[in-house]
Amino acid sequence: MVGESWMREQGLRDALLVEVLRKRGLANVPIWSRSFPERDDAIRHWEDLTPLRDGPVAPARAAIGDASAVTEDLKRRAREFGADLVGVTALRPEFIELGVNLDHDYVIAIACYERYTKVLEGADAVELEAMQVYAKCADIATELARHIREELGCPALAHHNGSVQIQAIPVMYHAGFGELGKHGSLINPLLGANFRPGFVTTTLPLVTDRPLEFGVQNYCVNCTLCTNNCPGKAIPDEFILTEGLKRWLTDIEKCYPYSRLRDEYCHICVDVCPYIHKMNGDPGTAATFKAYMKNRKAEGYKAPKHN
Amino acid sequence: MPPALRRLAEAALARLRREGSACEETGSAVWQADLTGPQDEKLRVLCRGPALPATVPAEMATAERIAAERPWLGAYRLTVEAPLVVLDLCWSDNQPLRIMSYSRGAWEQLLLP
Repeated sequence: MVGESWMREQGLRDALLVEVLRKRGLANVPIWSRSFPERDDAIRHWEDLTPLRDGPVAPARAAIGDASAVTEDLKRRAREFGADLVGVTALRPEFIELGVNLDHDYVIAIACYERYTKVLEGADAVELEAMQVYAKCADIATELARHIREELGCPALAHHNGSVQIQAIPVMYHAGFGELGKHGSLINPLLGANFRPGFVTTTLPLVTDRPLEFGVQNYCVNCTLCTNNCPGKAIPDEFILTEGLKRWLTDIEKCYPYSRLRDEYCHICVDVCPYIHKMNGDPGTAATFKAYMKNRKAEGYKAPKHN
Repeated sequence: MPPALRRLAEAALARLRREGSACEETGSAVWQADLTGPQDEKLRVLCRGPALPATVPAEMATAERIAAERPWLGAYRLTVEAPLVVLDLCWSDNQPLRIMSYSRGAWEQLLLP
């Protein structure tokens, strides 16, 4: 099937970021041009995995049991590889990048938790955690796709930060990871919004999951923590409806000066989200949240300096 | 350019021609149309540029071209706000179109004829 989804490109391939840079007379993106060797190692890791996204499919298809058993086996393997969340949904043209022909039927979504305690260590620690978790997701997606191709004999393609043709948020929603929050990230009852994804698309028949709804969208209507803490005032109170779901579209032109044009990572909207502890009842995470919010209040929710 | 997106852009320009009004901004003009849906949904269509264009480019700029052509300033910018920015397109004469933002949603039905 041919993809119908326009996906924002990363870095200088994004027309809006290029426009924001032009307005400020900048040639490069400060957050990515600064020296941060450990982060760059993580990026290099997923880039090294890019050629392994696809590969030869075993000539004889394995005797596969019923779709339910295969799905459970794949989910078990993904968890053994380190995934915290695994879900499956049917692939649709609106999940695939515009113009990309992907003759697969299903998408397996995996996600790994980002340790929330990093918020107390500063922006570099949060950024490094995010990049290392992305690298881990790339490992898991690559290995899962290889397993499907080489051991089950079905075409399978890994999608991760090295190269992705899948629209992450709607796929994760339909795979049952959670609901879309006001900050634009998906919220899971156990992990909050502190996770990063990877994907595998395949022709292997699988049993699909269903969306998991637990009141996030209604809660976000009245919660103002991310909107009040966003240094760029980029998160709106208004929302649009897409297929009946609320989407608070972050104003990217207001977000970029803080998330791209400084040399410090910005993840504040997710880090102040109370769903990190609200549903899972974990006292340690709740204590970290409280300590982090105390820090935010001590800063008077002031905006960080930017270029 | 995908047909669905082209239909939206052409519909936005048609609404500006039919229902919009022009005013001057520094160095260019801006055309604006405020639309209201049957359930009081609000939609604002805006186009900035030297003139109200008759159409949008059929071709889209590749990501490689966007990255290579910097700095780049488009002559025309067409936006739709619902009230958040849901469609934002930029282009110059005889050059491919750049999608700055696009978010699918119920607003599309309000814009289309």
